[in-house]
Amino acid sequence: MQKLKMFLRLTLKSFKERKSRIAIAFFAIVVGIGVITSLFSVYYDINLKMSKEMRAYGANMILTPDSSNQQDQNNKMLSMNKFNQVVSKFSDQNLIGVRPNLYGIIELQQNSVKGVFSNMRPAVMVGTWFDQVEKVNPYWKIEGELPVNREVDDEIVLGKTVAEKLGYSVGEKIKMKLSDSYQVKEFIVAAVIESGSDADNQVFVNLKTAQKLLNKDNKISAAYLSVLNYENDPALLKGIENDIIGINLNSIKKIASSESKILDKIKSLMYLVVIIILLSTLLCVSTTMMTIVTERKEEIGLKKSLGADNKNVIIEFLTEAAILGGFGGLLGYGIGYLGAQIIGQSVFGSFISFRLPIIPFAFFLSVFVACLASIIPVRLVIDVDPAVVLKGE
Amino acid sequence: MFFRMIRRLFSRGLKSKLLAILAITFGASLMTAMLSVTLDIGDKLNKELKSFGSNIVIVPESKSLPVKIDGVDFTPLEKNKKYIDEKDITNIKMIFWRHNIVDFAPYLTATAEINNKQVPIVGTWFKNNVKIPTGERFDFGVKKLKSWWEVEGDWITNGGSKDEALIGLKFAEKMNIKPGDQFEVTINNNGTLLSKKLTAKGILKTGDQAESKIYVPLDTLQSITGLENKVEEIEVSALTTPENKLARRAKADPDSLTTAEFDTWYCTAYVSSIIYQIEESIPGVVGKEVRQITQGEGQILNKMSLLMLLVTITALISSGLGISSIMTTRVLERQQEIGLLKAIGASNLAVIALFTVEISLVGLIGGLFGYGLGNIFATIIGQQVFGTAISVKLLVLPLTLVMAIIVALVGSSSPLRMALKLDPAEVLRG
Repeated sequence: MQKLKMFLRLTLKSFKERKSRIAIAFFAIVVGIGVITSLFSVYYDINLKMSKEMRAYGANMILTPDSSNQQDQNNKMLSMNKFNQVVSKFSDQNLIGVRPNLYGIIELQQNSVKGVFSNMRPAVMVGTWFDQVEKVNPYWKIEGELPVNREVDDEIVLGKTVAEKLGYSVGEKIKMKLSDSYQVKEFIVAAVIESGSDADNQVFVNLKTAQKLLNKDNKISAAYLSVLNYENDPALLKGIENDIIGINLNSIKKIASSESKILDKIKSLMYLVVIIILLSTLLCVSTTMMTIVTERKEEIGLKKSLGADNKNVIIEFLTEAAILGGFGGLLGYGIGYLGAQIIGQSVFGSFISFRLPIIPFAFFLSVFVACLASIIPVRLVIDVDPAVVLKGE
Repeated sequence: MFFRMIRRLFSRGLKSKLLAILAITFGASLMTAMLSVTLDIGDKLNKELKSFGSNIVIVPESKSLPVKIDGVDFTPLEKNKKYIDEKDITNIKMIFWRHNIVDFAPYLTATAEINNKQVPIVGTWFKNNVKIPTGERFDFGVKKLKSWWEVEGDWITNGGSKDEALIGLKFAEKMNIKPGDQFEVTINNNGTLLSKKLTAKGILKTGDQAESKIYVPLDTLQSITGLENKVEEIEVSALTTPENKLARRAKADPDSLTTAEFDTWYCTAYVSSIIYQIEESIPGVVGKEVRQITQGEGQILNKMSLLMLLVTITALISSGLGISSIMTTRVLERQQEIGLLKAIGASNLAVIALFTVEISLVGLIGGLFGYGLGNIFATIIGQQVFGTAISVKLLVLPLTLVMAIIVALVGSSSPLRMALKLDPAEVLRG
């Protein structure tokens, strides 16, 4: 008991008497562990965050009717029922967006200034959900405003090429005729979109409107899905295909395979960067600790001359280092977590998730490094002859 | 005397400075590695993002409106359809930003019949070794452009037989065609039926509409259809700079720019300026930006640059901290020396000068070692992640040295001030 009391007093005194040095070591540990914590937190989240960013490329999955038995023309369509079944297989978290499409060929009236004679030109009409455009086709440049209400049935969205070649702009009226009937319907141009793909040559109306016009109630031709985290589970797509008969669910290889390639690169880049920073930071922290211990040569000499053996001295130094490392590690974790949030907010606009294992990791790493960094110099000088050290130079 | 003191410090006290130099070396290597990687990350990632395929499509200027559903063409037959001249294609590699043109592939499409089944047939370059007007040779074609295409069997090679074809997976399954099979295609060319025997070289897996088409060398299709030297569409993959305000304004209305702005825009690798230059170099074409690729690319590049910048800043904080804390302890333990110097008559200024020079030298040596080590780290990162070395930027060396010295000086300034305030007698008494 007496011994323990003395030991505690020694440790406490050593902190009290050497405030500035302790502060430096503590500061080094806190900032070092802070940097390591924040980078590790970001690293563990990078896959999630970047795959979300990758959704800027839009849909990565396509749902089509099973084309293997094509005898029946009806099979080329997909019922809304099956579509809903497929969509329900994905969790809300993972499903960024889904856009069903119904295609049909219609004729549009060329806009003529004189209005005397204008011919009809064929074009592709797509019935779709406009509210999903910003999720599934975030890269579309939209001029005007999309009719996001799925019930609107008198508004049309033109692809850029259609608008240019037929001479329409936002707000004008356009006449549409179905290819196999004489029914003519008038729409208001709500928006013009530009994508640089086939969509530029198409016109878009609400899905319900298209189903009614084409007489294909509750049918769609295809659906585009933008889904997170399915790469890890290749059986998922096959499973859904087996569960729901008559569908084909494929990943869009162009996007999916390139995406996983880029994600792998980014992940390994971050991994190497984090490892290098980790090593350098640990080295910086330990050199600081080492200088602080080295200058206590005389103290060690004094303790030994008073009768302490090597073991006592080492235990005392280790305890000091462990206390310093423990508190430094915890505080460093707190600061590092805040740092991670700053990075998360400014780069991804969202919080970096809290990961429990990083706390013990930061704590033990910090204690371990502090102990290691103080034990090496202590071992180097511990066998010194007290007389030589104390005599001075 | 001053120099002698400095010299002495380094010849005798070198061992004690080793730790400080070591710390600065590690700190500076971290700075160097992170700065090099950050400065190069844009270029490296930009190249990687090319695996998403072409970001520019070039088509002939025309009034017609294509009617296509999922790649199947319903456009009514038209007379005087416009084409791009094949000999003009290589001009793409002659524009101002020619080094940013990574790859391109021309296309010509027709509808063919095989065993009474209609199928789109596409003529293109697979991996053609093309000579551009400067005399240089490059490999262009879909093999590199569409990195996600997989072929079961063999790719069609440059200079191989002209009668080979790649069959899209879906069509191959429908017709039961295997690699090595021979089949006959019939093409209706303005009423005359032309047939040709082709060999299936491979089955094409692409995960998109290309799976229900067949692909043949461009000149093969040109000679079958009689459209010699004609091309319908060109897909170009170019390294581009993410769009900014200027690029958006130029796109909306190039005439609204002042001459100076126009020059800046023209001489920056924006998609819009590259398209503008391609339109200049090939007569009668319009270029379209594939927004899916360009917008996604821009977003990823911006995010990654920002992320790396922030990571670099944390790395700089950590290395700065390492350097300055070790300098603080070094100065603290030399309080006695400072006391002695003052006791024998050194002014505060002289002590400061002595320490400044010494610390700067330590910082310089550590910084130089650190620069070397940091470049090794950067090379390792580059090789591991991107397969190519990170390019060594000269800017990094002075930046690292200056930062190492400044951080070392700042770290030692406050303990030095403390030590100078102390009474020599008190310090020396021990």
